[in-house]
Amino acid sequence: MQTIGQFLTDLNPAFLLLGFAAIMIVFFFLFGLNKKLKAYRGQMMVITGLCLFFLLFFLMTFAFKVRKAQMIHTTAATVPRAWIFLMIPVAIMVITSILNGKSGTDEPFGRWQLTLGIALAAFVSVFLFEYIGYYLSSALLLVLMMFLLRERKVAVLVGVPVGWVLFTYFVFAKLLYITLPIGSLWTGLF
Amino acid sequence: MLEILGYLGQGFLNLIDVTSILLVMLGVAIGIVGGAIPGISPSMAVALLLPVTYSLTPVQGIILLMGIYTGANYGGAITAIAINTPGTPSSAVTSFDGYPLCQQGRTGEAMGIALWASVAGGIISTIILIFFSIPLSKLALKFWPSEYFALCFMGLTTVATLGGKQWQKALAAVLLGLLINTMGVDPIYGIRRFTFGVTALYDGIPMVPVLIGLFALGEVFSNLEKFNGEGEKGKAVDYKWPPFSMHWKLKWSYIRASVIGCVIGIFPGAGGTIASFISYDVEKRLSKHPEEFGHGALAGVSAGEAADNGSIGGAMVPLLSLGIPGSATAAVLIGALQIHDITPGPELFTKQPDLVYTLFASMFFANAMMAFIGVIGTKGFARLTNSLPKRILYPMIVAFSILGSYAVERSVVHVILCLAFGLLGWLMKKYKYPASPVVLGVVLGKLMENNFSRALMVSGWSSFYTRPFTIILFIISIAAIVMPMISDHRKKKAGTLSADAEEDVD
Repeated sequence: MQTIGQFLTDLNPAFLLLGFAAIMIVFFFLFGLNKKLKAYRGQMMVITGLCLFFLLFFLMTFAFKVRKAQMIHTTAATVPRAWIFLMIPVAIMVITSILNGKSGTDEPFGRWQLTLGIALAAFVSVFLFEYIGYYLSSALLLVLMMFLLRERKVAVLVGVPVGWVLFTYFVFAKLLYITLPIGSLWTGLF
Repeated sequence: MLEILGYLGQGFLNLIDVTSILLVMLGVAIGIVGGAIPGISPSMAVALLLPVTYSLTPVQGIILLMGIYTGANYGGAITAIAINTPGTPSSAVTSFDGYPLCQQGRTGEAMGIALWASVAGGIISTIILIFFSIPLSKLALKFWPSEYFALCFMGLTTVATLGGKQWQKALAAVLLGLLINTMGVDPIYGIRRFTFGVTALYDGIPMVPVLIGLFALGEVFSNLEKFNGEGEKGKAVDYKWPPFSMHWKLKWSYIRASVIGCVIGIFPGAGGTIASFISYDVEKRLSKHPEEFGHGALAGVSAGEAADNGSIGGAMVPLLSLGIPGSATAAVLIGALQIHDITPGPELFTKQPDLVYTLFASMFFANAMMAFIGVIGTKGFARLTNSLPKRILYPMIVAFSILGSYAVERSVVHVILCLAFGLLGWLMKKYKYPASPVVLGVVLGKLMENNFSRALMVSGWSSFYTRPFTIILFIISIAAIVMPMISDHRKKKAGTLSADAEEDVD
């Protein structure tokens, strides 16, 4: 167990995410095989994801290099494990209530592509902070989001990001001294 | 008693000059704006204005900072109600019912109740502070880690209220909150836990990105899924302030929540967030219409806000009488006092009563100013958010969420966490997993773990079953869980019996 825990602790978080996603995809198809389960697939996926998350943390607790202190009765793993063990009966209760139909069936998906697209754009804009800076990155994100939400007035598409950049610059950077990333592009140029 | 009133009168007289009045107004206005911006906590707002007090007299400096503290605690409610983005962690509870009220077009009522509940909380807790600060501070000193742990456990029982019919899912959500709170360096051993090699996670998962992600982004992502570009302007909103009769109906809610906020605020570390959760739970349990909570109950808004602002007076009790800060903002206030060579503690009341009672008077005054500024300002903000087309409003909320989560620690990792929690919030909302228990878990997790370990260090397991106050708190907690179960069982039984009786009649 300690070896597994140490392996997971040392593993790059990106690989952990990929592994997590792969397992979730498998479950997605598994839940689709059964007619009854298919109606609750979303709810089952959430609780399965939580259980996987808890299992990962449980395995990682074995890598905590600490001996039990005799006077304190606890280790660094005590409290996390307490929450993890409590999750076992809770997960059973959740699954039972879902399968009993107490929570109702899943709500069908709407324009999930739009939601995921905007979330992805937001992630990308955060990664761009380092290169093009917060101001340009947030302005571009605002333009993109408004465009995706069918805003077509040029004055709005230009005015809102400019107003936002001025607001963040004067309120956050100048007034509150919260420095926002400038970006290597601008620091290199000037 | 007469002596106290005399000193208080003198305190009010000290405030009657143009500079002091302007300073209170300025402080409250800055506080409200700061509190409304996600990522700027009351403690941050007070700390940012701390250098300004160098050039002021001690009294002027303190009243300015008290104005900010008071205003910021209320300011968080404005965005919580208007756009489901709690400006401060303690205003998360306000969004549970405030935002549904806004969606129903009852923004004016929600804003009005939040404002006057905050004012009531501030005034009632100041009265408690003035008359009971010494005995209450003695009570706070008697609290051992085991009592703190039991208090947190009591806070956890509110999950039953937050979950409603989906209580199993609420339990899973609270456990998620508690588990993610164990991330970071272990408080006792200094061992890194679940940090995945990311330095920014050594301090654990911060509250603000979780809050903004789950509530603000979760809501926006959920709305985007249903967005069709048609009819995307806000619903017609009623900007009418609630009539006096509505406040009168909620009078006991105001008083209860204020007292709960003040009492919980006394205990260092507990603060307005736990107070507002517990107060919300109490109100729902006492309500004749508990089913309305979470769907736009006015008592839900008043409970959260009165407790939140009530916690200010509570936090000032240990600060003034013992020199111990009751909250992060109170810690900054101690720094402000020390800058002016004022050492808070028991001697402050005897050596500088003038200053202490001027401070008390300024707390009353700040609340009055908050009512004045709130009446003018919040309507404007509500109008602005409602008049903005959704295709502009949603991108603005996303941009604010990113900025707010970055501003706290200036960390990109926190922004990524915020976005991740946004996606989680969306899925949880979609699949009927309540998100508020996650926040409850995050709020209570660290405090629970610290005090659990401390209690064991002080006197082992026995501290949990030998200290009377700990036992009382545990009994209250267990009763809070078991009583509704028994009541439900009885109702079901009665329902079955009456159904049987009806069948017999048929």
